[in-house]
Amino acid sequence: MEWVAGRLARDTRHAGEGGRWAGRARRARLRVVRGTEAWVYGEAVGRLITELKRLPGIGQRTAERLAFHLVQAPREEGLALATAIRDVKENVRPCRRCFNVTEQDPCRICADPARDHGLLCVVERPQDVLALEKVGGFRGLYHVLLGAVSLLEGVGPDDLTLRPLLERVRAGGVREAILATNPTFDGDATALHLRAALEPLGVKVTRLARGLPSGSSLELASKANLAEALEGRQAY
Amino acid sequence: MSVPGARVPPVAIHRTDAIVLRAIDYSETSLIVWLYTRDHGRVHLIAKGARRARSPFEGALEPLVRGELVFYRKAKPDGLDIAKEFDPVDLHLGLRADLARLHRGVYVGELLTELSEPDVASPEAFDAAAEALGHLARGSHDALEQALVGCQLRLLAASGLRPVLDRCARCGGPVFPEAPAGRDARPAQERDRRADDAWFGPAQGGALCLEHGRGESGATAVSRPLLRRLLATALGRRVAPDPAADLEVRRLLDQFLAWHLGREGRMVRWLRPVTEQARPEAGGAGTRRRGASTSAPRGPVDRRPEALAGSPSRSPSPAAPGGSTVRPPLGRRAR
Repeated sequence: MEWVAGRLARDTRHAGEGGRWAGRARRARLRVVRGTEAWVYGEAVGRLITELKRLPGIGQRTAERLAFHLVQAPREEGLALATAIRDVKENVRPCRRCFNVTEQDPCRICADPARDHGLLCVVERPQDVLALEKVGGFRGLYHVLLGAVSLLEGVGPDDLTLRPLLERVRAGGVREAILATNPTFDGDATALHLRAALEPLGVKVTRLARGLPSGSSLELASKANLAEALEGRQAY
Repeated sequence: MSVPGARVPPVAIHRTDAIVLRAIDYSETSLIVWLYTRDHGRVHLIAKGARRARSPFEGALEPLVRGELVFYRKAKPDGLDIAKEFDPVDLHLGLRADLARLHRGVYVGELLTELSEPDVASPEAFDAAAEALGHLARGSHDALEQALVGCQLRLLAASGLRPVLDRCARCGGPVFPEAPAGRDARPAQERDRRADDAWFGPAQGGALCLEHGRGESGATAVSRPLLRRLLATALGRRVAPDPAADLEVRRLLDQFLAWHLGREGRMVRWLRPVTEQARPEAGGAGTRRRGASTSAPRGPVDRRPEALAGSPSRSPSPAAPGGSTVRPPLGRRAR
């Protein structure tokens, strides 16, 4: 602390209004402020704020707010959260068939005999499985790729769960693979690579329809949506 | 360059044609986008709210989309400039429906990125890439390689790296040995079949005559028709598409680019399985390498689905002499 404070004093001396050391002094001041959390609130709260800040979309202020909510919450509420986090880290693993997150292997969806095992929906992330299950109309199985092809970023099909998917199809029983990758450039690139790999295996390959959203109007549709809707028009 | 005493507006708003090169997620709702603009060269911007369902960018900030960009420069040079609007003009949907078109389109984007520097404008490079992307998205399948070759040559020319093709890059003399009158009575087509009529040396800057090409490390023996085709494409003449010949020409230019960039293009290896599948006798009738190789070891074609869709074999990238990476800027500085 003394070292940081000394550094701050030195930097502040050099920092005029918008001078060349202003940014450095501001950063040094922030270091002091952050360092004082543990000193003011105690080691446990300081550590909680630091850990919360690691989560996506959580900055210093939000981390402090969440930490103080937990400090003031009933003991059971806080411990329930801690237990839930520990259970997730200890019990959740990817399903060896579909790579969806699960506590039992194979997962409930793969193990369900009532589902159509000849219909396979290929998605990018486990969250996509949840989104499709909420719709409720799909009764087939899933395969989670755990990512998408991004050629310029150096992510190819081999970096996804393509090989297990092909082994699954080769094992037999799959009659249709629905490519439900995101309607983005990377999602389309992923779908093209999957199609190239799946078609030689004699499985029917389909892709989710795309275009105009229901309940909207042509006037309000974006150019991209209209162009895709025109491109993918169907006999009616 | 700033003029002493000149008043600089606090915020400059620009409207220009642009092609999206990359879009990287930033925070919950924003994107950091790299675009190649006609008037300002490559710019890196933050598009706030672009990932929202109802964003002003309408989901069009995706790689290889061409559109009209409105952005502002920040008064202070710290941080990213801000994208205000992007109105798509050509979505190039054809690129996203076919693997061969997609790979070539992404290669155009990679070349545009690698051969450019931030804020250095080159309208010639922009026009070359825009035309090539249009051809790749909608053109005939046989002409894809030709469109890519034309784009490679125009981008090289715009960056001051046009290969010497009409004379020997070493001695300045004629590339092809001229047969004395009356001595070589063979028909022209038969003479053209000789594989070692001339050489192409990336390190030497282009075509080499028989005398200076033979024995040069990294030089490739090229046939007379192939070099003629390359020259005609470089001069902008209309050449009938020939996928096999255009593939050989493209490979020569890939080697040329690899030498100047200090590494093989990331997309070159992605183009390989598709092309190898089309022509198992890869290596081609028109070229023969000597010395260091930039191309992958060529063997029997792997027709397994994994091989068709998965990562192609990686080959060692050639390094520029001295290990330095040469990044020539395209055109003039914009600001």
